[in-house]
Amino acid sequence: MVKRTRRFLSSRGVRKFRRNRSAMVALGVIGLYFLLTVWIVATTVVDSIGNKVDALDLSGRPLLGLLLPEMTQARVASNELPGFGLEQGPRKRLEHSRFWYDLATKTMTAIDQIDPASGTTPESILEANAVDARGFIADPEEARAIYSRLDEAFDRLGALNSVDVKLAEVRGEIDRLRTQAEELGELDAKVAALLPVVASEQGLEAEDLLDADPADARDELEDARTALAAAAAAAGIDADDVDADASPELRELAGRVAKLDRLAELAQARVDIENRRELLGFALEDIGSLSASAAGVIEEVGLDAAPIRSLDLDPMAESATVLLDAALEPFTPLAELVDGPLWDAAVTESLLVIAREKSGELTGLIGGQVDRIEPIVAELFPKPVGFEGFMYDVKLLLGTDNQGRSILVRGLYAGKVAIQVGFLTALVAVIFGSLLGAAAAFFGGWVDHAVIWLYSTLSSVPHLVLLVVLSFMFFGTPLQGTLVPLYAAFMLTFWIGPCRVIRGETLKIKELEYVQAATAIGFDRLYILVRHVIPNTSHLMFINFSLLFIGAIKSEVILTFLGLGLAAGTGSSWGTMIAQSKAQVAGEFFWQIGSATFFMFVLVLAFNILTDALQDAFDPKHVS
Amino acid sequence: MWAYVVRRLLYNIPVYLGIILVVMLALRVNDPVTAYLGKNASQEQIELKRVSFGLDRPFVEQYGSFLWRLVTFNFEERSWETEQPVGEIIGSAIPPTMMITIPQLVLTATLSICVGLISAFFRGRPADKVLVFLAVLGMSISYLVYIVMGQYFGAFWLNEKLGGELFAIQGYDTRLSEPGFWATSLPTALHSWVTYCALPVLIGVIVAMGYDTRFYRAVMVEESTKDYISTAMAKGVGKRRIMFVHMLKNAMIPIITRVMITLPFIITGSILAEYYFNIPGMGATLLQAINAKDFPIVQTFTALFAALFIISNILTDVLYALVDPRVRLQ
Repeated sequence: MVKRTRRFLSSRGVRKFRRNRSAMVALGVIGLYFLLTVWIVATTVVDSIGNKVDALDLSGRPLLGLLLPEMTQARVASNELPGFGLEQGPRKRLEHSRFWYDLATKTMTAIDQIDPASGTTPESILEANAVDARGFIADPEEARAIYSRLDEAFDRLGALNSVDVKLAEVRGEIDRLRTQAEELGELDAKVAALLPVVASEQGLEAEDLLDADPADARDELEDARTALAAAAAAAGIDADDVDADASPELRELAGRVAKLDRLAELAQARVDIENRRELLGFALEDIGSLSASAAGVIEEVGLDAAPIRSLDLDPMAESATVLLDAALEPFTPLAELVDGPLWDAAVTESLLVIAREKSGELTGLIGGQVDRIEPIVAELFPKPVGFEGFMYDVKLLLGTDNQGRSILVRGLYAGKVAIQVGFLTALVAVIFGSLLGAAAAFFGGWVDHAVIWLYSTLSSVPHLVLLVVLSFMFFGTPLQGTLVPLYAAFMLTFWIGPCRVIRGETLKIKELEYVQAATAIGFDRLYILVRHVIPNTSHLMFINFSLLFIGAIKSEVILTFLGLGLAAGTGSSWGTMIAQSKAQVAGEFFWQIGSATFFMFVLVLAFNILTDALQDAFDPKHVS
Repeated sequence: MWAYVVRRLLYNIPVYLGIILVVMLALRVNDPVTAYLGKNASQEQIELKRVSFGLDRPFVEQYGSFLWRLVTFNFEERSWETEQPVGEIIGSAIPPTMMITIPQLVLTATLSICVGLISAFFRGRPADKVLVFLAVLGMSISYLVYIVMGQYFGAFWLNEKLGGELFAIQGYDTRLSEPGFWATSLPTALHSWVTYCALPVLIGVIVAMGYDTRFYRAVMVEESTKDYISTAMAKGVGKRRIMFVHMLKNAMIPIITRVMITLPFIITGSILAEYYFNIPGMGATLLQAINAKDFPIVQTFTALFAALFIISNILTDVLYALVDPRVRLQ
């Protein structure tokens, strides 16, 4: 056995493979992932035995219990914590502190509501509400004292928050104002262009057009259009194609349609302008009142409200009144109103600048408050020390996801799931496919035809569709959401690749002399197949194993992403992590998708390099 | 020649029959009616639905009638969700898919062949190594990550930087499906296409290029080891001429084969890209139908996809036979 292995390891192909340094590194990386899998499986088994025998319970242990399945669902800290202890902006830090504050509030209320008869002590409640290794300070009295300081600090924050909201409202109103003014300008221009044309066409004065009701105009337009369409159809041409060659009646009808179209447009534009003027007026009013109340709140919080107060907002109030009146007076050129002294764009712009400035100062203030809050939180929830503290920091190394679970733990556990799925699938697929392919090629005849028919059939449906349909088969059964549908789908589809390749290779080997010699000697066909032919295709089997491994991992990720693989809440996989992180990316939180991609990327890259090296070493002509 | 074509056609008929058999069986393992109506449906409702769709007939009858409907292009049966005939659904789903897959196919093929050629030309030198490395890197990142990051960086982040909308995060303009729209207002149509379809196309091209470039490079490298190349070089033919006139032509056989194999993709589309970019194409419709357990659509779509694959297989075989006389004579 040892001698055979040694002979194998020094064969030409393997020597070439060993000389390829990047391939050896890749092999090492894959080996690490396998070790990880072994570790996880070992600790899980020991833990489940330990559930029956108390001595072996691993769930509390910092290192041994790190990668148990339940640890992938356990909350470790606040949500969306960044990795490597990086600092975030004040608002995000506030969210994290708020998480601990809410936890403390809940615990204190629970302590207040202790039923004396039940026998629970404050200490036990404090202990029960710990988050992983980080829990409350032990003494309930001290905890309460620290909690009241925290409470005060958060109250002050409440005031800061309301300022934030007010300033945001002001900025929003100013933006709305700008858009409406722009739209109004465009409508005005349209009216100015259309007015003389329509007036001359309809033979009316401009003032008479004031009362044009858009609805009436549209009805007339529709009637004219129908008439035109009917006449055009009777004449046998398309309503849009009426030109100089058509009959005079048709041309007149078409002309009438065009005029009515313009009239309708004009009437509609006038009505739109009225509405917009009103909205503009309201917006100006709102800005005036909002900025006044914002100034008040800003002063409460301690920021300097003088810049806002020093702005003279009276012109804006006047503009508002004038605009609201002008809404009822049509056709007053808006240009005069907007560019003139009534509407002072400079005032709104300065307001915007001040609002932004104050927002910035507010963020600073919030930051300052958060700086005061964080030490209090650290007092109330002291960080664990020693080895436990170290392991706790390790868990937070890649941050937490949107439910506070450790991304590192989930990413590593997902590696185990991936290796498990990849290994089993690739193994079964390669063994089954190779045996089938070799048998088909070697025995020929109806066996060959049957196998070819089988794999042509299965490969004629797009790969993903077949996987999806097969997973669909398991919907509604208790097996949905476990790995079983995945295994079934993969094993039914992945054997086709190796089958084809091994069949091709066997067809070639069948004609070689040593096979003919073996046949001449009188060996049984099956014996020749198993003892001579299949071992000579084994290099292709390895290459295909490697390829299928990657294929299985990638397909598992995609299927889970589509909702057909592992359900969320039972262990974790890279697919679930990527799926859950889609929402976080919009909030610029890249840790979850980055970690999942990184772990997967390293493994897949290693396998790709390995496959290339195997092909270079064993199959230079790239048969597979 | 024609004998070959006829042989291939006849050969593929039992294959297609087999596929329909497999698909129909697979979809009936879990009773489709109960899966659709849910657990709270009354026995009456289940029976009604079953009879109305003919699911109470023996399987052989169902198989036969489904085959007959397929062969006569009868797509009248109605979806369970939306009551639209399946034919209509297919008709409205194909144009969006083609808006994405056709440009994707053309771009991928052109770019990969060029990059493969360059890589083979500079074989062993830094340029080649860098290109191959990039291809392997590209292959090792999941398609999903490209989609999520593409949506974030290509659409969301880029729009903020540019202050306007260059690529839409999701969505599709139904006007793009009408040829009339393209005929009358080409600039608007192009602008709309760029907004909604350019990003999925780009992502698809980047993902596919990793695999294709390696394949085409391998094909070119294999050609370059042949004897006629060394003869040409000994004769003194310039390297450029060798690459583009001699090698490329002979390498076209596997290249064309590979491109032909991806032809059904034009109609079946990319399920993932359509799903996440909210483009109402064939793949997205199929996925929605599966999630809604809408049996008629799933069955017909799968049968259609399979038919397309078989047809493209036949076409590939025929084209291969046309281009490579050695195959014909088998």
